[in-house]
Amino acid sequence: MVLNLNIVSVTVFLIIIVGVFFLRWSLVSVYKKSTKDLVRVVKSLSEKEHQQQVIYDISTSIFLLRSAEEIIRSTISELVIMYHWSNVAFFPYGEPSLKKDFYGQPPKYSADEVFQAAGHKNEAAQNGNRLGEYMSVFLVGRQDNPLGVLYVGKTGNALTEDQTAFFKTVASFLTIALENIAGLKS
Amino acid sequence: MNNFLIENMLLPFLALLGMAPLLFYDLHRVFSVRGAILRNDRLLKQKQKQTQVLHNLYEEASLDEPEEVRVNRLMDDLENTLGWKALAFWDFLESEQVIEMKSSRGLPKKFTDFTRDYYHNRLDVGSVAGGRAISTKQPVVSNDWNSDPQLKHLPFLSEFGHIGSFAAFPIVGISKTYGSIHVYGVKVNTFTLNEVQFFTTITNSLAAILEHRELFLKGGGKNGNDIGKG
Repeated sequence: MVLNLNIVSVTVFLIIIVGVFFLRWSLVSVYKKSTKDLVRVVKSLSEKEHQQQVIYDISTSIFLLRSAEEIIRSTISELVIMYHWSNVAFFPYGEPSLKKDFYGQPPKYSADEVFQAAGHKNEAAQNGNRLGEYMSVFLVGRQDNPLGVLYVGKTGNALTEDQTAFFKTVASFLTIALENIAGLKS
Repeated sequence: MNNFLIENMLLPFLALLGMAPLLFYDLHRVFSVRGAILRNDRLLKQKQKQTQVLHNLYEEASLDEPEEVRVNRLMDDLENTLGWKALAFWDFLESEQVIEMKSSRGLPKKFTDFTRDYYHNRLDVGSVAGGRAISTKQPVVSNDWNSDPQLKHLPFLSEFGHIGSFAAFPIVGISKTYGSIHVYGVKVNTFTLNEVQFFTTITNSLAAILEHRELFLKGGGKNGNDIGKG
């Protein structure tokens, strides 16, 4: 048996080489696209896990902490450390300045601006774009009895729908926790 | 003819043989990544649904509703959104130190008949898994019904009732214990860390909301505007 290099075998050989080349090239394209999709899904999953961990931690803390200040400090701390979101602050209603432990990093907006943006609405308000930073505010308390405003700043874009829902849940938790503490004290 | 095929197709065959490992490697990489995407996507969808249930719970927190109505609505949400078919709510009667089954869904008839006939739908605090959850104020999880020392004397429950796992999550506020939610799984090892943490978050949040109704909505308590003042 001899390796025959006639035109038929060489042609088929070249067809196979070219075919396999194109097949591998398309598989590599699919692989690259799939890898990008995987990175996106893993990032979303990681953010969702952090959100759930924050909610779990703060819902447990309500039974261990006994004052409104401790609850707020603990919540801000969870958002900064567990959720890696340092551009967050809690403005107590009626206070002209921000307490040191009530924010992760100093907000770019003043208390007046934040309260004005909140306008005692129950829904989140997203206003303003100062120096590339979007402000989102979430009322803590009720329209007839506001306790404060949860301020969330984000550089670049506004909050996503998912992030908005998360911070709304945090604001709702703070409402319940702070009113419970006040009710127990009375 | 055979000789013709062997002599003319040998070269292409060798080319194919040489390229095959590379092709298999590329296919393996693509399928591995696609598999990982499917697994992570499934987990992400489950967590999104869990977040939705929690979000719904807090959204309706300001409504002045009786405890049983609120708990039943939560159980509806757990069933419809997350697919937890077998659930029960046990109310804590402080004066008698017992928990009483107030509502259930998806439980096998043999199980509910047994609970009614043997326990009269009541469990002493500290007894059996459900009572232990109330007395310790901690979740009690049994991922294999048959090997739990307190439950394995009831093997027919898993034989006829298709219950492999069980967990009791107490609803405990700062000043009051409200009861517990019992969750039943068809398979063993249903309750992973994710499930335990999720249900603990749900019952902690529910306890705070029930307490809020008693302290603030019904009692007209203080408005909470003393933040930072002590």
